[in-house]
Amino acid sequence: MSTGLKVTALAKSFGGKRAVDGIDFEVRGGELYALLGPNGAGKTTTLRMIAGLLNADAGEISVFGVDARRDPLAAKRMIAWLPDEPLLYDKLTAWEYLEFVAGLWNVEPAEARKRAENLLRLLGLWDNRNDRCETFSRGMKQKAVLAGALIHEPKLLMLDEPLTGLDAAASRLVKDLIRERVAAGAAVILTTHILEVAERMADRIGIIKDGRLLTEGSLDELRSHAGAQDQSLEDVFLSLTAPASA
Amino acid sequence: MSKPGSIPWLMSHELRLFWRRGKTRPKSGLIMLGLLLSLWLLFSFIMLQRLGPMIPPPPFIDSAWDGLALTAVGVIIAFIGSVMLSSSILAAVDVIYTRNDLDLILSSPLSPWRMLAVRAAAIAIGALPLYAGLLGPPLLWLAIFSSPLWLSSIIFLVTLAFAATALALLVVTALFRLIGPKNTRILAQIFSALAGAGVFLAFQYFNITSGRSREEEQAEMARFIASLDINPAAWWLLPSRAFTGDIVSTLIWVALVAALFPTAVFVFSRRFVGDAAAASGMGQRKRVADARVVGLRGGVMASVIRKEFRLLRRDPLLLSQIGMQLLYLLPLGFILLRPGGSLTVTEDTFVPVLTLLASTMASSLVWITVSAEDAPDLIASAPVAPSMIDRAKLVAAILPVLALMAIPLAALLWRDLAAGLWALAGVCLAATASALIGLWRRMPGSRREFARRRAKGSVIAGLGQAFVAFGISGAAALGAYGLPLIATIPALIAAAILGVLYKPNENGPPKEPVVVRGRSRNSPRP
Repeated sequence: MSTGLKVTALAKSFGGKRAVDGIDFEVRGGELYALLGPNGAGKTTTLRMIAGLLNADAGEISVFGVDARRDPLAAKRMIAWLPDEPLLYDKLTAWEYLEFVAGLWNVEPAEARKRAENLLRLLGLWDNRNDRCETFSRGMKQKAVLAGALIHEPKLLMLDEPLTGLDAAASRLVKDLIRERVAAGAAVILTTHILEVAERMADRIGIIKDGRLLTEGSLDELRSHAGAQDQSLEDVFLSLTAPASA
Repeated sequence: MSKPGSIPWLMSHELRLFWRRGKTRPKSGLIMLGLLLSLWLLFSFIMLQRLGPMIPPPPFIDSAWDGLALTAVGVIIAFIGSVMLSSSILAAVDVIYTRNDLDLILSSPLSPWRMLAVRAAAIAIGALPLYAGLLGPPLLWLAIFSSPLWLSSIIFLVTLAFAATALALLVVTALFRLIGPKNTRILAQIFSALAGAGVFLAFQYFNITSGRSREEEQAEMARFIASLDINPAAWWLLPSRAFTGDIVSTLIWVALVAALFPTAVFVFSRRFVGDAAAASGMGQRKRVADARVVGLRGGVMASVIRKEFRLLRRDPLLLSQIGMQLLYLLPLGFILLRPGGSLTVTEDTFVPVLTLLASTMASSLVWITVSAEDAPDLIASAPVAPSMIDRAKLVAAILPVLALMAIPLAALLWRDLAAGLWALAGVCLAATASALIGLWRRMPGSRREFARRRAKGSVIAGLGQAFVAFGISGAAALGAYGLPLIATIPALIAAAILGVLYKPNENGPPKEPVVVRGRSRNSPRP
């Protein structure tokens, strides 16, 4: 498998507080990497830097061989970013939203139309394609944003809490879509607080705390690192991220 | 500390929210306010220490001259009342539509009646500060140096705010019943603007339609006043008498407001839960299958422009707010077009008016397209150079202005080619300059904040847009009046201001955290 995303010594501070403190990790093409950590650990900040939404203070980001800090536009062409909060244009319809996103990524209109139809049908939004997004529920908005993220067929998909607000059926649908992208060779990185999702879906897991990567690897590797064989990811996670006792 | 859930506790919560509205540093605002108020207190003290004893003590209920004086006071009260009504309508609509604490409040074990009574009182108190600050100090000194009966004017002002709030609550409730939640918001916005500007615009309208010169008008007014024999005891002068220290009128007025306010709150609260639910669910229309499948169109620039046009076209509230801003420019038009005024009405007169209108519209539209971006992360994560997005948004802000100005400009060009060309240049330059300033000095916000963007946005940008607009419109006007050489002076001033305000856009994402929808977009998140 080729290297999809390579992050080296990535750092970011906010007003003197080190939010991300020299993180290194790698996600290969066709791999799903779950980035886990307690609240405020630096997960979203890391993803936002990779997506080009935040300037890193230091470090390197390589997306399928492209230096994202030196040539952000070339990197962005391959990236899709799904934020935890689905921010849409209330007054646009789902169809118009996809048209707009496809336009931003310069997807050829005929191809964009085909992909938009496929995605909307797959996500169960086809009948609502001409409804304005302001009429959508939280789950429908999440699905519309996901469709937008996938319309340019990204090679690197970054998902921040992608299952928030989704019902069981929609959640399954999204998970299937993610697996499909992984099978197609995309590198997928997701953050989630639902550890069962990471446990079941992720090929490798990284655990981050206070802006530093504590450990990474497959679930078995994490277990042996934590010295907690046959334990669930939740137990492993809690033992690794527990505050140091005095 | 008041007991949680009690009326004082709720009131302190409401007033805290009111005070913090649109402010990032409440303490510095308090210091500035205290300073200004102290200066005004001192100045009014010096003034009224001398003048106060010369002002006859109230009440004024004897002669026809008293009737005239009370009528003049009545006009002032009507103006203050209309502005209070305007702000109260907006605040009442805000309570139903935009305050996002409704679910929390309504799901709490507090009585809705108590909560709404407090919130209504807070609306009334919120309408007061300007007048309390402006009129309070002189009225206080007047009570000391002329007659204590002037204190009734302070009581009157406070009760006027409550009366305006009561009317506002009734208006909003009635609008809900008559036209539904969606249109209420838009109409209330228009109604409030008209209520606020009504008295002022009426006078300006009178000015322009009287068809007489200023001297003729003054003579006519003097004859008219002499012919009037206004009875100071007339019923319609009750508010004026209450304001000017007539104890009986004050008591009647206070009793009226004391009856009106709780009645209005009662009517409003009875409908409130249903109205609030209707408002929150107004987007939840019944879905019907829509079989249309339109083709997708591509192109980065075209996509952004198309998106901005769609969003503008589909937000009637936003459009009405822009329209209302233009309404406030009408008096300027009245002044310029006034017969017998310093300017003669010719085609040239329209040049600065059109230029200013273009600048105002462009500054509003650029704020919407550039600052009030709903999905900044999406735009920032797209593989498009920020400069291209900026160019598209500029075009989206300027094109509607040019489209709207096309007809008056064409008419002007047809009637007077030179004036038309100067106006065309003025409109294009003013719209572009205002849009550029808005772009350079962007301040992220949400579309809902449009009406308050001046309070929340960049002061430098607002002032810059105003000065540049005046410079360009002045230059265009001077050019149209045949003074192109002198026109270079305001044009150069405008260019200099534009140069000072120039701020290149940093390529890439913003480095500093910016606040959008109450949260920091770039701050670390869990």
